[in-house]
Amino acid sequence: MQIPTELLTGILGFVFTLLVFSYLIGDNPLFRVAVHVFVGLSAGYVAVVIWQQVIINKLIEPLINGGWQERALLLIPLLMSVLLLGKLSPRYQVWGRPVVAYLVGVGAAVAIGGALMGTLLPQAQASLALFDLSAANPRPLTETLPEAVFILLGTLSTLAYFQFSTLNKSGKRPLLFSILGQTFIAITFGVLFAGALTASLSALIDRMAALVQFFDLLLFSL
Amino acid sequence: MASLGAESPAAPSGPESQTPQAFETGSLDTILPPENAAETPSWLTGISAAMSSALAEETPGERPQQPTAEETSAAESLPDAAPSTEAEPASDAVFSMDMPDWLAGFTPSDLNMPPESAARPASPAAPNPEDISPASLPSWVQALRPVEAVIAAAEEDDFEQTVEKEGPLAGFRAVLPVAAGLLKIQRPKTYSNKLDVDNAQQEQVALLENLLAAETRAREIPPRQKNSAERPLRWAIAAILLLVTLIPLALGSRWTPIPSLAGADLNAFASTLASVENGAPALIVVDYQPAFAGEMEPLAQSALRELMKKQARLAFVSTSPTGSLMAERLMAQLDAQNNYPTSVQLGYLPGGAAGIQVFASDPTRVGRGSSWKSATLSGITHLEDFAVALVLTDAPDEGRLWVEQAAPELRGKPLLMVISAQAEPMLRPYFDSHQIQGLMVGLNHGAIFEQQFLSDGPVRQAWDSFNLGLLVMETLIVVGGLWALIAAWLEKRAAEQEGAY
Repeated sequence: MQIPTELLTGILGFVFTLLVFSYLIGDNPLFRVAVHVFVGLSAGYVAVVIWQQVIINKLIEPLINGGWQERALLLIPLLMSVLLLGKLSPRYQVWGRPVVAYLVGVGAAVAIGGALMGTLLPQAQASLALFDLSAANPRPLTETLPEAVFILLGTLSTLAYFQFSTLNKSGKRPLLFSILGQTFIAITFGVLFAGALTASLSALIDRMAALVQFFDLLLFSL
Repeated sequence: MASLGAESPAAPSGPESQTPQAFETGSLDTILPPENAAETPSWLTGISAAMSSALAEETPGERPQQPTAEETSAAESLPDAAPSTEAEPASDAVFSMDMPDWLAGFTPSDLNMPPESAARPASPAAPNPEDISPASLPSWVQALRPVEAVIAAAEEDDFEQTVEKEGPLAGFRAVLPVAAGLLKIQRPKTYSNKLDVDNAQQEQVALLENLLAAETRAREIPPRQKNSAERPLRWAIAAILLLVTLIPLALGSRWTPIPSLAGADLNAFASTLASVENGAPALIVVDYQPAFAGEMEPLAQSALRELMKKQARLAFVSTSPTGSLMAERLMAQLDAQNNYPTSVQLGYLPGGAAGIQVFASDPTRVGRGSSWKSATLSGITHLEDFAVALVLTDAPDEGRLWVEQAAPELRGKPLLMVISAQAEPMLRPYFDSHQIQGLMVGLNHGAIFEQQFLSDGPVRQAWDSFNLGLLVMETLIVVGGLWALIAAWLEKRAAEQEGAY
């Protein structure tokens, strides 16, 4: 008797959904079994993908079938990979330090350059453009100016909230501006929480839809 | 000393005993009574006479100047004894030394030593006792004397006096140098570890230590009071949410209408997607996790369906190892029969931000060489050769990396994003700054976009559950917030009443 693939995956999905839902009664072995299976499957799949798509496709296969120039260039990452394996042993971990330093340096350079040129400067430029009073601004000033003032106020008050300074001459901190910044931060966290809640609800609906589909398949197959 | 004498078997214990006790101090006259002088050996009699005469010279007031007759006769009757003139230096040496009390009364007879060993003449190599003059250093100089240096110097002297006992150099003294450091043992110098600080400085040090400790000390959080109704409340909320989402799906309801009003972001997304020419290459970045497939897949299906209607050449790439799997699953849902001819998987893009930058600068370095020779990717050598880039992601960081690293290389070609609702707050500013040309956010946008092309797509099927679930969750949050406010107010009121009484 051949078991349909959809039925088998449906049974597994149903069982693991129940195992995960068992967390409602608290941490229990059934929930842990499901978590361990998910973690093991994910790690195994990632290892296979990296082995095939990175090590085989980008290193070993070009070393075997590539030209001399390609092989010579691939010796550098091969050597660095071997040196990086030294991190596994406390005795030879010093071999991997230059490789790690190279990776950290390149990663930091790429990230900082991207953040500066791709986020900070364009975002600052876009915020300044809202104050553009020239005719080149396609949006009317009555629409852009309140938005610009709101953004400026939120930015400055948020920065003021995170500024730790001494007391002023009157012995008090500028509380009003700080409270305004705190309000902006609270609204931001509320929006982030609402987004996470919405995404979680979508995942729950997907699981429920899978269960309904499984029982439909089960009933129709019987 | 008394105990030592009592334990000695040779020493009598009776008070009437006249024999000298071991380690007893004092002169021989006082130790040896006159009546026992006849019993003493003849050689000892001569020595005692000489010593007595020496004592008489040093302490004239205590001792008589002339020896007694018995002493004189005893001295004359000692043939082997040295003459009195030769005995004087020996007695001087004995009494010139600053000997301790316990050693002053130490005689060879007390230890039953043989007489010949006690009477053995001194070695000719031994220094003359008269040459050794006792040092008369002041006490403060003795306190300052470098003990370690003296010990080392003495040891070095001992080494220099080493006599060879074997080999051709046998008998020679101080011929071979001793290996440096081999036998030289010197005590390590001790240094004081006490700081010379006063009380004020100690108080400042303590203050600094307290400041540093306060920075690293975690603030103690009082343990949360467990509510007995917490677990039933959790079960009740879970049951409500499960029922609210399950019932509309099971019934296949279409109760709630789909909004028709789209925002500027979704309008820009739809118009940009509609402007893609037929057969144009499109880059699809699948960067969402399998856990968010329930939210992302309906949205991605809507967008890809429009591209597939135009026979767009789809190239899938991902910076997540599971992205390739999600891309294949997505295409399997859209093209179950695998009839769509122009799609290719470029696979996993390792390296994070650096990998994206490498891909943006030279896309042909990613994926297999055979993929770039296919009809799907023919004519594409740069990122700007793609007509549109569509990023599907649930994480704001992934979307931000693509904006930062790849958007400049698109050189005016549109960058669209299909994102999860949780990533919207962080990625919307990039749309406002025109770095992203269109956004589709969550099931809400997905339903609006889908109904333009499909009347009953996957988003529509889940729309009732989504709306009812959101409504119930918002209601629960509001009710919970009000309950917390009322509970706090009641608690405060009760505390005030207790304070009033």
